[in-house]
Amino acid sequence: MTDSATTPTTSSVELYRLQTAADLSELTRIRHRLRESVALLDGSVDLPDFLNELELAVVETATNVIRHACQCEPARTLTHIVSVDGGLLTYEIVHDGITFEGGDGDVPEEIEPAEGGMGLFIIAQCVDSISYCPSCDGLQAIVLTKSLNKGE
Amino acid sequence: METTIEKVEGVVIVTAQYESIDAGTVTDFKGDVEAVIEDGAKVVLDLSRVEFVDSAGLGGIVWFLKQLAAQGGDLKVCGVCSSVRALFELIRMHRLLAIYNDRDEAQRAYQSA
Repeated sequence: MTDSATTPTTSSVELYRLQTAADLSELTRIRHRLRESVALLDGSVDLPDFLNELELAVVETATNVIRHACQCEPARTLTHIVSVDGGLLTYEIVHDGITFEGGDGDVPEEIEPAEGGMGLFIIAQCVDSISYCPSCDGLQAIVLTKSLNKGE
Repeated sequence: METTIEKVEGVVIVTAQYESIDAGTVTDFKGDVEAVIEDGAKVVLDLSRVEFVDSAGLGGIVWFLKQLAAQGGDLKVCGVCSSVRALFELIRMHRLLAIYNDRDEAQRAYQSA
């Protein structure tokens, strides 16, 4: 699986593009790559808190894609793209699995600790937006955004 | 096994040696801790070596607590790093189990009960 840092295009700067197998054992690598890149960013946010929240949202999203869209088939490939445009960080995960949507309407405002069913709530709490959209070539994408500016 | 288990003055100390307890490792974690689930077991789960927990990891800890409670036992957690503590607060884990700074404090809580 590949991992590459890329050059800026227009005002959006792609920090990196990482390909992984649709395998839960890849979560640690996905998390480490995110942390290495985002730790270098400037912004007015409290970076440790920003990173912790982003890391949680990314891991929860990747887990959902691996489990529900790709059904834990390691032969399937995921592409993780992280970019910054102005004060907004974007994480996009592209997959060739079945269409999968969490749906904002399904997310409760608060939850109690349980053995499962907490992932969508955590994602909603940790990022500013989540969108499910078709990508090119029949692929599917989930896009998370999070502001680098405090208080937004 | 990435978990060490020791018994100190009637309290079972379980130290998770995982860097992360997440969807990729939680099955192993549950397999590790299953050995201490027995009648009336008083358990301290030391998370001081764990840097990251996700919802699956939280679910594993809740599962562990429920298994112990079903047999008249109890679980206390200690050594929670700041990022994991933030997740615990988000999910309001304190409503379900007691969280202590370190294992001595957690162990003393059993002895003073």
